[in-house]
Amino acid sequence: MFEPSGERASTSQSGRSSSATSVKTQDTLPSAGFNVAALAKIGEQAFQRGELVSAELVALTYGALVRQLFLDYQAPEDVNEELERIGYNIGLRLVDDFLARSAAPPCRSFQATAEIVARVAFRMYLGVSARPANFAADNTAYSILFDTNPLAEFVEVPDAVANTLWYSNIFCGVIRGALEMVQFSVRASFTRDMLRGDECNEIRVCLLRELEETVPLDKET
Amino acid sequence: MNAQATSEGAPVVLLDSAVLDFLLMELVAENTASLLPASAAGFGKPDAPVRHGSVPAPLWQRPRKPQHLHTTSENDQGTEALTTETLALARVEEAGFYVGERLGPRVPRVGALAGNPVSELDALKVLCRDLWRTVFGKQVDSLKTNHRGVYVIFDASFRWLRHVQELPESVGAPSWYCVFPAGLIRGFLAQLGHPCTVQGVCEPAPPSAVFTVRMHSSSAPDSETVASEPRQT
Repeated sequence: MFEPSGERASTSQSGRSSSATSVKTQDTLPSAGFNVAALAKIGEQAFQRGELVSAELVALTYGALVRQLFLDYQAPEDVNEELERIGYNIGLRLVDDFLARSAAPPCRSFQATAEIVARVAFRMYLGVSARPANFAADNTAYSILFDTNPLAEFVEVPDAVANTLWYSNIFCGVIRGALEMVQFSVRASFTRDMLRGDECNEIRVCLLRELEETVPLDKET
Repeated sequence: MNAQATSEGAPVVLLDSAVLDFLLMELVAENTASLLPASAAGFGKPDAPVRHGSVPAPLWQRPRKPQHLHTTSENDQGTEALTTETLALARVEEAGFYVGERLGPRVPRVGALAGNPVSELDALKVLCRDLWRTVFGKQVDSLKTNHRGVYVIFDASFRWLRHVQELPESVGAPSWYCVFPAGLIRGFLAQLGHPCTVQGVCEPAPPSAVFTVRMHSSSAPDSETVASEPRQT
């Protein structure tokens, strides 16, 4: 269903280098007291420290997963939902890995999560630069923009589902799961996707509520 | 070929390995969820609500069971349980095949081989050297063959088993995590023109893995028994 085309790889890689600095036009961008360059550096260092694998392998594996979900669920809406759920499961655990390895400053406010997720986490795990933008006036929502999506290499979404499927919807789940573990209950959703011809990828993150610190129930047993 | 140019000309794009680790775990969990006892419901289970501290799971995220899970029952034993396990893992294996088949031409030095017939032994050598390095970051530790179409690949510290060293019973057997790479190997060899079956097991202890490759049509003249042996015996 998702045949690798092999042709897209070269074009979409061009935006890979540090585009974060060039597109900082939003005046309203509150960096929540963080030094943006320092955050990018933290992310880059964590990325370099980590063990790396070929992005092609990851993209193909993700493609295989999406393909299976399609065979199982048929309807693209259901696939979106499942991807989000799988991402959520990943996010819940990924956050531990992130906090342990990234050495990122703690997220004390919802705004701060925007900076950390976009500038450190995207850099650290995906090696791409993302940037937070479009903060809501009351600071309950923001967008994460990124130009390069390693998961979407080689992907051609069939026309029939091109407007219903969010191919990389797993990101939304990961963000939701990870932020939930740092006490922010959010809803994340794609609003723009380069696979649909948009000029960049945009994930909208909306704060539902802040959670209270509670002693967590044991999760794994 | 454009794909070749990108895999050999341009710098190889890399991601953090945690991304792949988590994806594989979810891939296995997704397909084997029905095999685990209900009490062991963990994060990866589609049919169990995820338990977490303070947030109730909102309705819009509650997963639905895919069709293939309806047909499996959890408390059957013996052959029934065995077939459901084989079925579930066959899907993981198939996913691996899908990846291996497509990854093959992108592996360094394999693209150059495309179009030319590759002998069985050469294919295995490329597999053990180049594919392994691309995928697992090292070469295999040993490759043995009986010269009748059976090859045994041994890796003493298999990358994808590092994190399943202390695997509780509740999340399945370590060998489950060898099924995807087995499919990957099969896909890779198929793409080089050598259809085969591959069985991956975790032996003798978790960080090591053994993959047994059985060629469907061995170039060796006397390959009487190995050729038609069924998979997953």
